[in-house]
This record gives sequence, structure tokens and C-alpha cells, in this order.
Amino acid sequence: METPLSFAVYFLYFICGVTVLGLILLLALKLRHIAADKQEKTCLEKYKDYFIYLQAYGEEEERLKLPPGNLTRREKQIIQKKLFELLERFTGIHRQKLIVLCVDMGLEELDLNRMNSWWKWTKIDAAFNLGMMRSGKAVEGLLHLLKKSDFDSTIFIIARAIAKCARSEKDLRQMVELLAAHRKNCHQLIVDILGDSHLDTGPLLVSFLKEEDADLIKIGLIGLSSHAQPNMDPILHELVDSADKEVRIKVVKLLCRDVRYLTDKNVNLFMTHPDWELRSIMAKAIGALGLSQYIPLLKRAVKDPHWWVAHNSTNSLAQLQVEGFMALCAIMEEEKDSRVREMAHQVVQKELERGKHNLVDLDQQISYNQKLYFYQKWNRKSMKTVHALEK
Amino acid sequence: MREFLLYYGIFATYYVIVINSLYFIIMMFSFKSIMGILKSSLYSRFQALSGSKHVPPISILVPAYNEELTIIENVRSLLSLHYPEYEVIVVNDGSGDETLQVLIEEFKLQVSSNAVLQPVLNTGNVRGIYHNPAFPNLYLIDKENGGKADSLNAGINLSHYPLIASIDADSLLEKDALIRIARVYMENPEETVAIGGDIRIANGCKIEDGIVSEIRLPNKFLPMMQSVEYLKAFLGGRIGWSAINGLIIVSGAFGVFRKDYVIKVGGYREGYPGEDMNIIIKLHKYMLENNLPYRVAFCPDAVCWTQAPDTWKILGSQRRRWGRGNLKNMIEYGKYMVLRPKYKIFGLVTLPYNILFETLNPYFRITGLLALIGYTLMDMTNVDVLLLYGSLNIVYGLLLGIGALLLEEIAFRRYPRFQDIVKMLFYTILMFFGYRQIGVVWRFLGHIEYMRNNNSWGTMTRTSWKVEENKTISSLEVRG
Repeated sequence: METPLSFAVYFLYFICGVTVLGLILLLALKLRHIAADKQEKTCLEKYKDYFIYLQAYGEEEERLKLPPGNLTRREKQIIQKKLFELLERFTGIHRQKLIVLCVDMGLEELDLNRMNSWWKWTKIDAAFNLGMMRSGKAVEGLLHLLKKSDFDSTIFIIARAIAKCARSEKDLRQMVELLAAHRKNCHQLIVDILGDSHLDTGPLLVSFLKEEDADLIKIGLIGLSSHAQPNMDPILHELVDSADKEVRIKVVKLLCRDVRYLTDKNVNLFMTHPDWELRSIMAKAIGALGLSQYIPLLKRAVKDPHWWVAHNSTNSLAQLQVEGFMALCAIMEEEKDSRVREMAHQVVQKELERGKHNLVDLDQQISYNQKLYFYQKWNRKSMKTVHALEK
Repeated sequence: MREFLLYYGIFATYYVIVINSLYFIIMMFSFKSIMGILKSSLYSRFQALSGSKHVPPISILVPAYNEELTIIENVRSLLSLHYPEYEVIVVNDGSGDETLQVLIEEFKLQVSSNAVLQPVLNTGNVRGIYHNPAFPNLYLIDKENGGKADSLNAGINLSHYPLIASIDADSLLEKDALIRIARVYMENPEETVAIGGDIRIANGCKIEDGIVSEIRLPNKFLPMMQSVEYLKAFLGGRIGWSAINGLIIVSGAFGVFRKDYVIKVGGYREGYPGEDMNIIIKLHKYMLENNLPYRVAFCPDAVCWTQAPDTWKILGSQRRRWGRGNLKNMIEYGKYMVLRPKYKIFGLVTLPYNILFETLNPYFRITGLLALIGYTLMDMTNVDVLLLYGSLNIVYGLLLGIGALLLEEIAFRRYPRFQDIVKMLFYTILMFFGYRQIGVVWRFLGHIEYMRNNNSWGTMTRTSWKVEENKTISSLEVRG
């Protein structure tokens, strides 16, 4: 064989070896998985009555009994998996009793030890298990693991475990600060993770609003959107002037949820704000909250150069009963800009279409008839104009 | 002449070693990522997450062209996804069949004069928008024929949410596919501009009410080959490429994108196949030119099942189209981006790899094989050189196939039976006896079509999910 191909020949031998190794590994893994599946099936069948007992006696006062007989390590793992399924399904005392059972079975201890493993993946498995068992003892170790971990998907597994195990607001705060330190803007996910905690996260979220870190402020604002807390307006008003646009948007969103925060000054401020997002949120909120006193503001905002502000303003007018509807008819009649007229016309059509199918009580019928009357009046007027122009 | 043939053959042999070794390195990145993917997939509480109000809403765009046989099942499947807030926008791209009518009849859709199209991207003429308040998250756009990219752009104009998902009308999403992708997005929403899902072959699987209820390998030869091919490309390749942020394509069959960036890069390119690769190249280019931190991610546990072509004619048409799309993209962007440090991994690794080992692959492989056959025919005593070339191709290909199967076995285990692994291994080897060579020829023919400015979509087929065996129709589609 020619010399230039010698390397290729050796290389072929090498990859033949690697291929054989890969093949052995693949087949061994497949067989192992098949055996494990079979073992799991047998074990679940063996302890079928025990699992029925766990579900039936969850509300009783006495402690749940341990599974009968001596368990192998594998059996323990299979039973643990099944217990976790039940933990997800039950709440209250039933869940609490299952957690105690996990401790009695030594599962908590086992996973606390596994947290000291050299292997990252063993630690992740243990972290998840400890989270499922709401193990207060694990919090320190979990926080340490989170601190040491690089940013990847697994940090959220650890964070969720911390949220479930947290003993106090301080634990949760530490967890949130560690996640926020990665600066990946995963605020929604962090708030979702906080929701897994059995603690009241409201005060923690409010405390984030007083931080200087914009990420923590955003987490607080997102969390508070579903976690109303009293006396927040002074803090929120301070944040309206934040240098961070996202913070401004989130604050206004929060303020716009409650009519008490919407003074004339605020509404005017937001409707004329340089950020189109703020104008758009405010325009939408006026309709949603039924603030018909701001119809003149909406009529002006329909001409806003930004599409979303104009769109939300026209839709809000449609939500403001007959008065808002009349304002839309007036826009169709008076407005010179065809884009604005068209937008108002679309919303009017939509409102009439909706009203036609929504006549369940007298008030709605009266409202629909009034709207229809105004629309027909406008229509007749515009037809007259068309005819006059044609002549 | 003999010497020339020999040295060219040697070059082709080392080309095979280099191309496969690079693929092997990429696969090692896949192995590096696989445990993280497995644990996240295992321990993320998708059921709880699918009810969370913190999950971003998504607009699913479904371009449909002559899809009357599959569209109802697909839309039904999409309407029952486990996801908190989403909308399905079907775009009928001037179908010549009954696609529009079957949709209108099935979902009692009516022309909606008030649905608002925000004209952020230019598209062909929209004839109407249909809606039924009984299906509040379903919209149907009827437009003149303009191609898949044009349909996606029209869908973007109607979409109401910040994320868009493009899905082929002949594909079925698993119930939790969207929430799995959303989890990846939520972990890093600022930097994630696109996320691809895993595409698997549905031929042979049992499908009930638009859901793959029993996973089986295809019974027919060609879909089985593609099953093995897809597994290697998606698990072996794309996980690795995404790990180094060098992913060049998010399959048009299922991908999720940030709408704002798609609009910033001008939307999907019209008039040419390969729009799925094109949009990703444009996103890389835009983000790198503007020094914005970003990633194009891949989520292998978000699965979309698709129908694979089961005749040589249709498969050939698809592969020639891919060849044309790939060449067009490489010519269009390669000259600006290849080996420019500004484009980082994408310009320094992904594009050169793609040009040398995907676009030019047919030329080196075919000519290398022909050179060695010619050399051997001149002197049969040198047959060992040809055997070496063949063995390297087969053994290295088998190794990469085994690697992909290992990844599948470690993390996903969709095919639980032992005989499935054996069957896939068998087809991994069988692939090198004709199928791969024909694939190379198709790519080459695709390039010729590109040079001749042939821009037809070629022959396509759709088979109803309900009666896969009996109700196959073929139609010649000329698009764009």
C-alpha cells in the first residue's frame, strides 16, 4: 500500500475499535434499560396493595407504615418515584404524611448524602428528590450547590428544589439573588419557581422593589402582578421614573390594574408619556377599567403615531358603553386620516357583531340597540354626503 | 492518468476522514450536553408549567398548500396542545384543492372583517381572514399563492404574540412540545432568538385524533432510511451545533422564533426554498453585526412528528430542493460571512463546514469514488485502495450512527424494543449501499437546477393520517 494511505489504514483500525466499543455500549445500555423497566414493573406489582394503602390512609392520624419486607436499593428508588407521583397529586395533611414516610424510609438521609457526591448528575438527582420531599435540612447544601453551579438548565432544577424546601424568606431571597446574578433576564421563570414555595412570597416581592438591582425590581414587579399587596403605591410611583424602560413598563402595568392608583394626574402623565408602551398600556386600561371620563383622551390617542396605542385606544372606546361607541362614530365622521377612520370602523363593526350574539339581559339589549341606532344615524349621514358628492 | 486518479482518490479518502471527524467532534458536544438535557427534561414540571401564567404566549403559524387530507387532523392536534396561551394561524397559500373549504366547514369559520393585519412584512394579496368565536384561538388567512415564506410572513402580520412557531401542515406536535420549548426560552429569554424542535418520522406510528399514540419504526424502506438519517442529524448534529451556538438551521417543520427579531431581519425570504436555513443565517448575521448577545437553541425533547416521503420520486424532489436552497444560501451569505472573525463561530466554523462538507460534498464524494473505481479498473491489484475508501465511509458512518443511537438511548428512549435498535443499526449500514450515493446525486442535481434557475417546488405528496395505506394522492405542485 502507498505511504500516503498508511495513516488512513491505521485510522480505519482505530475507528473500527471505537465502533465496536460504541456498539457494545449501546447494546448493553439497551439491555440494562429493558431489564430496569421489567424490574420496575415487577416491583410496582409487588407493592400494588401498599400503594393503595398509602392513598386510602393519607388522611388518618397515625403515621403511614413502611413498606413490608426488606427493600433493595433499586426497590427503594422505584417506591420513591411512585411516592413522588403521589406527592404531586396530594396536598395538605396527606402530602405531609407522605413526606414523613419518605423520611422514615431513610430516603431523605440517602439524598442528603448523595448531595456530597463528586458527580454533578448525582447531586442534581438528589437536589430534585430533596425538593420533592420538602427537606428543610437540605437548604444549605442546595444553596451552596446553586452558588457553585455555572449557568445552564440544571440551576433551575436546584432553584425549584430550594423554593420547595425553603424555611424562611431569607432562603428564597438568597436563591433569587443567585439566579438574578447570572443576568439572563429569566424573571418570569424565577417568579414561577417562587410559586412552588409554601411560604407567602408577597413581602419578599415587595422588598425587591426597594432594591437597586433592576433584575430584582423586575422580579418583584412580575411577582406582584399576581400577588396584590397593600400600600404599594408610594414605591410604585417612585419607580415610574426608573431609568430602565422595562421597569417603567412593568410599573405602569401594575398601576393600571387598580383604579385607585389612577388619578387624573397619572392618567394624563401616562397617556402623554414618551414611551409608546406606557401610552398603549394606559389606553388599554381605560377601557378595561371602564373609565369613561377619559374618552376625550382616548379620542386624541386614536391618532397616535404608534399603531398599538391607536389600536388599544379604539378598542378601549368600544368597551366604554354607548358613550365610547358614540366617540367612535364621531371619529368615523370627523377624522380626516383614512387609517384612523378605518381602524374605528373595524372596531365598530366588531362591537356590533359581538352585541348581536350577546343579548342575554335587558341592559345589553338596550345598549346594543342604542349603538345600532347611532351607527345607522352615522351611516345615513355619510350616505347623504356620498350622494351629495355624486350629484 | 493513473497517478492523477490515485492522488485524487487519496484526497477524497482524507476528505472523508476530515468531514466525519468534524462531525464526530460536533457529536462529542452533543454528548457533553446530553445529561443536562436529560435531567432538565426529567425534572422540569411541564404539567405545572403548562398552567402557569408566566409562560410566554405563542402564535403558531401553519402554512398550508394543498393539504386537504391532513389539515383537519393537524389543526385539531394543535388546538389541543398543553399550553396556557397560544393561537393557531393557518395560512392557506392559494391551494388548488379543498384546503380552505374543509377548514371553513370543519370549524364553522366565517369571514372576519375586524381581524387586524398589522402590515409589518410585505406579502401577497390576502383574500380574507376567517374566524369563529367558538374557536377563539384559531384564525385562517386565505391568500394568493406566494410560497411558504410568504405565508409565514402573512401569519406574522396577523399574529398577536411576541413568539411565533412555524409548523408544517403535514406535521403533528406532541402535546407538550410547545411547553418544552417555552421552558428553554424562559431560561434565557433575552438572548434566545430561535429554538428548534426535534423532527421525527411518523410513518409506521399509530395516530389517533392527531396524536401519535404508539411509536413504531416505519415499515417501508425509504421512511426507515430517513428515520435513521433524522436521528443522526438532529441528535448527533444539532445538539452539538447548538452547544457552540453554531446552529445553521431550525427545521421549517417545527421551530419557535422571537417575532421582533424576525421582523427586524425582514421576515422570511420569499421565492426560494431553504427559507428555514435562510432565516437562521439572517438572525446570526443581524445579532453579530449589532453585537447583541444571542443564541439559537435546540430543544431535542420537544418532538414534532412528520410524514416522510415514501417514494423515490418524491424523496428525490425534496432532496434536490434542499440542495438548491442550501446552495442559494451559501452563495448569498457565504461570500460576506465566511472566515470573517466578526461572525465568530458562525463565520469561522459553521459556514465553512457547511460549504466544504455539505454544499460541495456531492462533488468530492462522487468524483472521489469515480476516480478510485477508474484507478482500480486500470489495475485490479489495487482494489485495496477502493476498499479502504469504502470501508472508511461505512465504518465511520456506522460509528456516527451508533453515536446518535446512544444519545437516543441515554436521553429519550422513544423506541423501547430491542429489535428497534437492531433494525436501526441494520439500516445505518444499509444506507451506504446505494441510498447515500443517490442522495449525493440528488444534491448535485439540485445544484444544476439552481444554475438553470429552476425554482419549482417539485412533486409532493400528502397522505391522510387516518388512512395512510389507502388514501395516497400525488399532485404536482409548482410554487412561488
